Amino acid sequence: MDEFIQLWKAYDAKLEHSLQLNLRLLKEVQSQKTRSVLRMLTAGRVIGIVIGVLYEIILCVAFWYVRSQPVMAISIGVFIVVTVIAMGAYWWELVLIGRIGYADNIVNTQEKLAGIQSSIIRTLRISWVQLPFWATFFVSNGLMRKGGPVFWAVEIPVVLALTVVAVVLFRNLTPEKMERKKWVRKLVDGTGWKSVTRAIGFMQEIKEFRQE
Amino acid sequence: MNDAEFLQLIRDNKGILFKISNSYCRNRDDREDLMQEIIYQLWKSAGSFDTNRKFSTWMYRIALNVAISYYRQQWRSGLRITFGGGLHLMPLAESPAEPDTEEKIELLQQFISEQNELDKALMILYLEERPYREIAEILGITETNVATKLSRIKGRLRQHFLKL
Repeated sequence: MDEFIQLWKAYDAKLEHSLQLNLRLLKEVQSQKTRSVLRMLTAGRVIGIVIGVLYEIILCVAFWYVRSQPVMAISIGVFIVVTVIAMGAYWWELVLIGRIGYADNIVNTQEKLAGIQSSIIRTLRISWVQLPFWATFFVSNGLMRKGGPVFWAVEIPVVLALTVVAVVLFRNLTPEKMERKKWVRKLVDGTGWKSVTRAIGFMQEIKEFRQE
Repeated sequence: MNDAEFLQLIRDNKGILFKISNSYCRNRDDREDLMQEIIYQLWKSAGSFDTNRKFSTWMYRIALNVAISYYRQQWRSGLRITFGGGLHLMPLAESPAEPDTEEKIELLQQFISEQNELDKALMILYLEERPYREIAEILGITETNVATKLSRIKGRLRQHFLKL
């Protein structure tokens, strides 16, 4: 017999098993169970949706007040749409989390988990679309009329610069680009999303593991 | 499966649960937490267990999936997650083996701990003498793939033992 299997058996003999498990202890384990991976993923999405709903209410109220001011209304309208899309993405992730079962095969389960962990990057990507509108949401009809050359000399370059940044980030913040482009990985890591790059790295490992 | 049957199955298979926990966590407290997590997830999933299917396949899938997820979560957060309580699920003692065997066991454990999460699972299933067909079913890859990967891992393992 394989010497390594013999060693593994010797290791088993070395352990003096003493699992004192009864129903009371099992129920105790259940009551202490609060931070499993799936629960943490679920909690993150639920918190995101709750905050999103509150933010959406504030945006809708603001939209109502500025509805007669086109630039402000369009800017806030974009915030509303982007927030709805982000909440929709979170909702879909909750559905996917609900479909994950540990009794499924390992490659499938781990691929789904890593997929959800990395999917936050897609939500972030959509969020960048609103970037230029952060420089326009306060531009009222009055400000446009009375702002004068200095206002426009600052406003136009800022909006253009933010548009360029938004387009570049929207095009590059994808799991596929992160695998290929070092600067995208560095940017994501630097903003505290290391878990995303690691999840994407793990998905690559799973892909290689599947290959014969 | 009722509670009593479940408890008996866990008792019958506690050895492998200890070994999986030991392979994915080096720290004793982490191992205990992982063991609790595995037992909890097994219990939670017990209702959906199809008695016409093999218990070991179901158990290995859950235990290894939980272990890999736990390991990755710890690694991501850089924090130890403590569930509290003191159920003392881990072995209370380890009886020393022969010095030569002891050293080889240590070397084997070291080799396992150096593998990535998926190879580690494959390695444990091989050492547990599961048939290739069952390993393939548990991992979700083909039998040919299992054979190829195991042959590579065994080659690396032999190299590792040459250091002895």
